[in-house]
Amino acid sequence: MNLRKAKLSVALTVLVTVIAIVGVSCAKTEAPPTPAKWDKILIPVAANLSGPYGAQSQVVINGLTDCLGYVNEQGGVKGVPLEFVIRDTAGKPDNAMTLLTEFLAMKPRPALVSFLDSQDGVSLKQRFIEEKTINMMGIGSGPGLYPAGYTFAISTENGDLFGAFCEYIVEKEAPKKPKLGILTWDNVFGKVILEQRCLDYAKSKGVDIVSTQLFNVMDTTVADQLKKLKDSGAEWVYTNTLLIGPARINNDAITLGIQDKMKWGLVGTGISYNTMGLGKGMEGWIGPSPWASWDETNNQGIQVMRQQFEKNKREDFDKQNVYCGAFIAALLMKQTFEKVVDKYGWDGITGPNVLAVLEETKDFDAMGMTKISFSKEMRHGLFYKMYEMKQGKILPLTDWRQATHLK
Amino acid sequence: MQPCGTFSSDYAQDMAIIRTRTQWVLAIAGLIVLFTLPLYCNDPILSRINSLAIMIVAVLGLMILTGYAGQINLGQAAFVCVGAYSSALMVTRLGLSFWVAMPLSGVSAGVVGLIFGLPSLRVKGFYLAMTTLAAQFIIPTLIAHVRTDITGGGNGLIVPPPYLGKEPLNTQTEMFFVIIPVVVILTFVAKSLVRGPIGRSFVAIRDNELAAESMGINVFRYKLLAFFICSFFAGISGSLWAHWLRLVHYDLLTIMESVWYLGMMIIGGMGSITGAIIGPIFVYGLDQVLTWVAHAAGDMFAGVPATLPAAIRLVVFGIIIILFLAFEPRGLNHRWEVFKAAYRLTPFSY
Repeated sequence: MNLRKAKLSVALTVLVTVIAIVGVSCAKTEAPPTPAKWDKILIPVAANLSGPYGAQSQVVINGLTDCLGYVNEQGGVKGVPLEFVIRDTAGKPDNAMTLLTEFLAMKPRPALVSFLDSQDGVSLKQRFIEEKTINMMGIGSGPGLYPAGYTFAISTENGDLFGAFCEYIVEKEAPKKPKLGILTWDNVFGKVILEQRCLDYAKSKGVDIVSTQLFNVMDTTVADQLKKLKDSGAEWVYTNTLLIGPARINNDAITLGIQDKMKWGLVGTGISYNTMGLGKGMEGWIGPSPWASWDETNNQGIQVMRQQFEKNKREDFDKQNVYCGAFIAALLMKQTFEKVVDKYGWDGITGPNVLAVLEETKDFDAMGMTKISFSKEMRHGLFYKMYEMKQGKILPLTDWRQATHLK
Repeated sequence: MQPCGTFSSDYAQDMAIIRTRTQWVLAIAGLIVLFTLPLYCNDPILSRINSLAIMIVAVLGLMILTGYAGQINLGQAAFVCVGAYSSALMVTRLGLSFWVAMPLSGVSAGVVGLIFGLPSLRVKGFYLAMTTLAAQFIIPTLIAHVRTDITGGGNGLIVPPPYLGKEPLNTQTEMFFVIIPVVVILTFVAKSLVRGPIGRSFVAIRDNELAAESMGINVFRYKLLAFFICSFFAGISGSLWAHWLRLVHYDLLTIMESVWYLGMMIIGGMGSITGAIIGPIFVYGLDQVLTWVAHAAGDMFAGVPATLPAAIRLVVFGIIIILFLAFEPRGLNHRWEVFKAAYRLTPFSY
């Protein structure tokens, strides 16, 4: 053994370890920034940026930051700018937990944070209650939101949107009883609409669910499932999937020659130009969406959003429904902080006060882009419009409607 | 190798884990530093330490099975999942105390591990890897689809914190004092196991199964025992994880976690308990440092998409691991042994 070499390599190892420890210690003290009270209002945001959904999370982050630019141009919260502190959870719940402790150690302590993944919303739900800190999500899931605590979602819940879709097709097909086939992802997200509360509601509205088929996110074909749906007599097909999901169904339906023989529906958060781009001729697909469409160019909020989109030179991939949702979330945060300051003063920006203000939120419309009301029992939006994909555009079929909360 | 002048005069001395006065002083000082960490670390750091400590328990189990007994296991995260669900169900549905549920969840994971260890008599190497990989698919599928009224199905289960009397232990500091003693005890148990007859039987099986059998070692029995111990550790890890995170969901413990446990063990150094501790520290520490650098870079360059530093972090992480394995394939423990030998031999180089 060469003793000098061995000692040198050990010294290097020790040095690297010391640097690593110092690095982590610095992380403790230097990041995230701790501004003086209140030269700016920090809102910590945690998302899965390095996992498989990173690109999708980036769209949400872009929507949030673009809206923040607009909000700060308009004077922020009574002259105080808002600022996001963006962190990566890498899709790991233990990272999310560590990030929450990091956020809570910030000075001044944030009253509102935003963990974008519904998985984190569920796993940290109890912590938000114990720490009296609001978590503002885009799309929340039932277990993350209820029983009502400190977590809020600006979207109408996907189960409720399925109920809204059922109501719409019953109305459209009346007096006939619509025969519906469900084709959705075999994961937590996709199977929300298969929960008993959703199936019972569909039945109570007169929808006959004739078949339920599942597929995996990575499956390259759904032809077998489509054949089964067709054989079961389904006239309508509904999918609670995003991006490639509806596009795959559409493309296989064209290959099988049944695309124009059946009617198609999807969850509103899945309605996007990307889906239309991936699917060939998705004409006629309909879905309930809690947020306005990019093509409602008369809508004031959409106009502002499009201006910010152009100004920040965003790419076509960002033209998604979730970008719009993120824009709405940032506007809601601004309004909420303003109301808290009005009611409780600058020293009153605390979790319980933000909670009280959010619970009083009635018909928040984000310049016409949505409609949200919260209450002591209600932690997510309930309003939606039905949209249709038509000639490369996403156009509204109805005005704002209120969905039933399927508890 | 023992320090110069240290000789064993009886069996007990030969088997002692801590032998010299210096070792005793270092061990006691180390424990004092460890248990006083909450005095100088804030919650974010303690949260990382807790997370790391839970991983170490799972890797310790894997080290016994794979590092010592030579039985490859690609489903360790599934056994952690069994422990997590067992503990959560025992506490929420049966009303048992966490302190009772934790060891029982180790036993329940151990029993499940035994079932998946049964094929080890007939198959080895890659084939055994495939059977343990099956655990990674079968267990989550069962949790997701069978008796979801009990397991919570896709919603998972919300888990209460451990209680000491009527006081919930729900802060990072409180959980630190739950997790760390368990890790210390299990490390001691693992170290004692591998130094005794059981450990020597494991090593004999790993090195040459036929020779081990001809020496009178009941190979099947010891293989199953290794599977049980490995899964028992995984179960304890799962129980701690569930009550620390306060949620269990089968989607959170995927094959990726199993691969990471293996990676931590290899980087730490196969066939050493020290490796099962320093491997996770190195991998997790590196990941955290790079994450901090990525966040700092993101804060510094506001116009850069947030996913860019996150992606660079993964690339750098991968490169460091590749370089590490290329230059030190025997793991960090080997480097540690070289250091100890050099220290003990100084000023002589032989």
